[in-house]
Amino acid sequence: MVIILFIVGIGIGFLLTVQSRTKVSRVLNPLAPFASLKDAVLDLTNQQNQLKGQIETFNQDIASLQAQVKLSQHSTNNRSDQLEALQKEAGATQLQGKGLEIILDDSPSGPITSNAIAHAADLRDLVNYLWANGTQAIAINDERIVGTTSIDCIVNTVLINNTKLVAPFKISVLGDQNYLEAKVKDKNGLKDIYERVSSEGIQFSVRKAEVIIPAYKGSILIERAKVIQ
Amino acid sequence: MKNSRFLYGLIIFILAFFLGFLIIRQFYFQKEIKKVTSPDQTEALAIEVGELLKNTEKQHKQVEQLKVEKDNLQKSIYDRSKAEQTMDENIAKYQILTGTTKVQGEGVEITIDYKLTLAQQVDLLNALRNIGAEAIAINNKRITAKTGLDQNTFSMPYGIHVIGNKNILYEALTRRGGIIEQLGQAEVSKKDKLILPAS
Repeated sequence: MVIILFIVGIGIGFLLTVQSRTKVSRVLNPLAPFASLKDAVLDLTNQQNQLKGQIETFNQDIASLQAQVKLSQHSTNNRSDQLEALQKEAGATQLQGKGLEIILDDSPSGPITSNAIAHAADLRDLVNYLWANGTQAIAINDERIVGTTSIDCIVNTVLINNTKLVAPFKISVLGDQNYLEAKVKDKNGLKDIYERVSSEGIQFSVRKAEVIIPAYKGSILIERAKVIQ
Repeated sequence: MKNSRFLYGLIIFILAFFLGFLIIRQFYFQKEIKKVTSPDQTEALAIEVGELLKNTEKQHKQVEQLKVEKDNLQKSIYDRSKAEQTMDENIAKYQILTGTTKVQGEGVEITIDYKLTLAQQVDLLNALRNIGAEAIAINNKRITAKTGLDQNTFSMPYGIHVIGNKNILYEALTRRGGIIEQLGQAEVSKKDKLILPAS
């Protein structure tokens, strides 16, 4: 008797809650949101590539104009030098020299789970660690890391400087080769990444190399901040 | 005797009723959480579209700005005062980006009074850059591209100053699923004037 009451009680509790949570919805077209979102992604990606091309052309034009101004306006030489030094520091110019090449890649075998792939978070940790150890410049798959760069993840792709990147990730690093190599190989320094290497099989390797760090290809939007001297 | 058995049964019935209610509530709650942490395909696409839209808008603005810059430089070739002005504007832009000078502007103040792990700090900085921060300081220390954090760089409480469009920053930080919700909680307030030190 008690058991029956118990079961009936649970049953009614179940039903009443389900009932109260169920909203009657009108199905207009089950495919519509998915299909239109897919279209939007394609469309926006194309637009972005075009805009990126435009920005690159502008940057090239501006660089050559800057050189012309330097020639024609000698009195501004101090300013030119200051500007060039700042642009170099900010990542607006290509750099070349001794450094490291680090490869981060998905696990080569086994089922593709969300843990067996290289994450944006791994790249963020790595970049932070490299800066903390005195790196001079970093690029990931030729995208320069500058002050406004964020490394984000959308589903299975990584987004850096408005550009979608996929694994394998090649991280080019300019700086003290011996010191940085030792730091990157230190399993206590990059604990999370090395743990994922051993437990999930993601690929991580480092070697000394002559590296080219490309200039930042985007533009910098400063609208609200003002310099105070 | 019969009466007390009935009462007993009634209590069991009521308890079971609530148990059923709670189990289903829990089930729905789990589903909600799953939706937030691992969105399905349509939601993932929606997130991607949102991100792409934001970036396209940024790029349009950049193109506009570059047009003006190019135009100014063209005039600068034969006009000294124009050349000086254009260069000064550019110098200021890169000074802000590299953190070589003090800066001032509107923005938001974030206060977090519990300990963040290093990964959380890295993610927070990344999120701030993603939503359009122009200059950042944590506990009055300026953050630049080359700032690398370790466990001991900052200690709680964290006072984070971010210069940028205060409304956009505020909305992006405090929205559902935004970085603040992912971290736990924080106080965010809009500020008309923030002053950040040089690095």
